[in-house]
Amino acid sequence: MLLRLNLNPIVPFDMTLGTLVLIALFIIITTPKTKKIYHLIFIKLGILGISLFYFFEAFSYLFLSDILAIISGISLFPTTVLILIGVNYIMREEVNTFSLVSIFCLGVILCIVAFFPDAIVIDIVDRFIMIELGGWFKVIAELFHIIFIGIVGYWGIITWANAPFLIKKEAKLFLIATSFMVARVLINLMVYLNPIWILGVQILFATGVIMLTLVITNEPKILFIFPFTLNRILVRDKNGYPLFDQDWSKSKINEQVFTGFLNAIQLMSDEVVNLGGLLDIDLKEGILMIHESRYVSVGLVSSHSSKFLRNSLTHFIEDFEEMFEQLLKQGVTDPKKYESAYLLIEKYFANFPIRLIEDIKENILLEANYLEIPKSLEQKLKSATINQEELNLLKSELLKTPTGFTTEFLNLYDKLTREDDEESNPID
Amino acid sequence: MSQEILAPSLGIEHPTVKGVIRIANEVLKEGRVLNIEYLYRRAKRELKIPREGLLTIIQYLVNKKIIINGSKFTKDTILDNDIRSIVYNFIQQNIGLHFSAIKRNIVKFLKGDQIGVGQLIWHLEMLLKFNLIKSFELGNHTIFIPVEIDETIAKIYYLARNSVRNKILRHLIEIERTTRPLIAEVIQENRENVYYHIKILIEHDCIINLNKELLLNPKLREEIIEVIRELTLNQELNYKEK
Repeated sequence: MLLRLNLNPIVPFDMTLGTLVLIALFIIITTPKTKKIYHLIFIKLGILGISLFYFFEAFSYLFLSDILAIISGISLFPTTVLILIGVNYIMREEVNTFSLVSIFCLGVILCIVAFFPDAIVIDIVDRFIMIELGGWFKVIAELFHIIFIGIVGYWGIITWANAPFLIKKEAKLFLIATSFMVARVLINLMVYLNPIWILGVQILFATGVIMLTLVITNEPKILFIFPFTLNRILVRDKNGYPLFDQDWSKSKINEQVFTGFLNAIQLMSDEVVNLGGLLDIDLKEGILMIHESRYVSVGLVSSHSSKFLRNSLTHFIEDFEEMFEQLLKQGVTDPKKYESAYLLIEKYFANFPIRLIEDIKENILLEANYLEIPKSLEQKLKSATINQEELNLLKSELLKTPTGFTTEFLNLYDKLTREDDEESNPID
Repeated sequence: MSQEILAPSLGIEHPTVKGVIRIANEVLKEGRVLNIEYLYRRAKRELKIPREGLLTIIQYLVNKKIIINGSKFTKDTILDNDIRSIVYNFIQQNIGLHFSAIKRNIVKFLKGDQIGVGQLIWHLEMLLKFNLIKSFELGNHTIFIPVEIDETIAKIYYLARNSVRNKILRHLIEIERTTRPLIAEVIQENRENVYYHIKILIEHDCIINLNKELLLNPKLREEIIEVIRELTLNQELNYKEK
C-alpha cells in the first residue's frame, strides 16, 4: 500500500519552525543559567506544546490526516493552560484558579467540537490541498490562539514596564518577542484573503517564541521582576560585627528595625533559635528572614518569602561559612576580608535584578573618597577642616551646591575666622 | 561543597572599576551633569568593555555607595544634614548671636561630636545661600538671624545679650526715665563700663538722651520689653503698660 503524501509548502515550513522551537527549548533546558529555575517548568512544557503543534500540523498536511489535524487543534488547549500557569507562577508564584477553570471549560468544549462533522475541512487552494479546521472547532481554536496571545502579550508589556534599568535592554527584546507573537493575530486575518498568509503567521509566531526563549536564556533576571523584590542581605558574626552586606533595592523596613531584630535573635538561646535555622518575620513592609548558623547571623529583607529564596539563602550561608571558615574561626571582623562573598551573591542571587538605580537620568556623584576636585581647592578646604571626615563632607556637598558657592564660602570663612577673636558676653 | 570560580571578584582596585571612576571624575571636571546613562555610554565608548561587564561594575559601584545620589541641594533638602539642621534650629531659637557665640554654643551642644570652624561656616553659608538665615554687620561682628526676623529686632537681641546692657535696659523699662549716674548706682556695675554701654545703646537707637535724662526709644519700647522678657525668663519685669 502506497502512502500518498501531500506536498504542500506548509509542511516544510511547519517542520522547520517546529524544529527551531524544539532547539530553542533544548537550549533553555540545558543552559546552566536556566536549568535549575523551576519557575520555568510550565513555560518549557508550553514551548514543547507549541513545537508539537507545528509538527502535528505539518504531518496532518503531509498525510492529509484528519486525526492529526484534530490533535494539532486540541494541542492548543494544554499549551495555553501550561503557558497560563507558567506566566501566573512567574508573576505571582501562584496560579489564578478562576482563569484556569475557565480555560479548562473552554478546553472541554474544544475537545467536543473537534469531533463534529465539519471540524476538518479539506480544500484545494492555488493547486495545493489544504487541510484546515472548520466550524466550531475553528472558532474555539482561534479563541485559544487569542487567549494565548493575550497572556503572552500582557506578560511582555508588564515585564518591560517594570524592568529595572540594568535589564531594560533584555526587557525590550522580550517585549519585541511577545509582540511578534501577538502580531500573529493581526496577520491571521490576512489568511482569509489568501491562505498563503498562513506561512507569514507561522514564521512570525515561531520567531517570537525563539526570541523569547533566547532572551530568557540570556537573562533569566526578567523572570524575577515580579515575584518579589530583594532589598538587603547582611551577614554578621556572633558578636554583631557586620561582615558583609549587599543592597538590591531601597527597603521600606527601617535599618534600626532590621538590626534590632538581628540583635534580638542573637540574644536568644540556641534552643529557641534552632528551628531549622531559618526564621521568617512578617513585617508590614516586607519579610525579614533571619538565619542563625554556626559562625554567622544573616538577615535578608525582601518583599515576599519563597521556597526558592529560602533555598538560595541557605546555600549562600553554607558556602559563606565554608569559604571564610578560617577567618570566622579567628574572629576576623574586617569587612574587606569578606568582600569576595560577592561571588556567592552572583552564584545564588544572580537572578534578582538590582533596583538601586531607579532613574538612569538621575544625577549622580562619586563618594567623597573617590571624588577629585582641583588641588588648590582641596588644599583650601583641607585648611578649613579639622579632619578627613569633615573634608569628605565638604567635598561630597561641593558639587551639589549652587554656582559660586565655594568662593562665597571661602570669603565668609576668612571674614569669620578674623572675627572669631572678639568676645561677647552672652546671657546663659 | 566545591566552589565554582567565577570571574575574578570585583574590587576597587580592579582596573576597569578604576577606569569607570576616572571617567566619572572627568565628566564632573568638564562641568557636565553626571548620570548613569551618560556614564554608561561614555565608559562603554572609552573602555570598550562588554555591556554586561560594565553594568556589573556600575551595579558594584552603586551597591558599595561609591556612586551616590547627586541631586543638587534645594531648600527642602538642605536640612537633611543633621548638624546643619542643629545650627539652623539653634539660630531660630537664639536670635541675635554673632559667630563666636554660635560657635561656642554649638560646640558645647554637640558634646562628643567634633565640629570644626570650617564645617560650621560651611553650614552657615549653606543656610545663607538658601535663604534660611540672613546676616548683618554690627560693629565688628556678623550677626546671624532667621530670615523672617527683622534686623532691628535682631539688633535689640544682640545688644540685650550683654549682661550690663541687659540690666540698663531692664532698669529703664522699670523706671522709664533716669540719669547715667543713677543707672550705674542701681545696677551696681562699674561706672565707666555702664557709661560705655549706654553710649552703645544710644548709638543704636535703643535709648535716647533727653536733657541728660535717659529713656527707652518710644518707637522700640515694646520690642525692647519683649526681648528683655524673653532673654530673662526667670526674672519678673515690673513696668507700666503704655
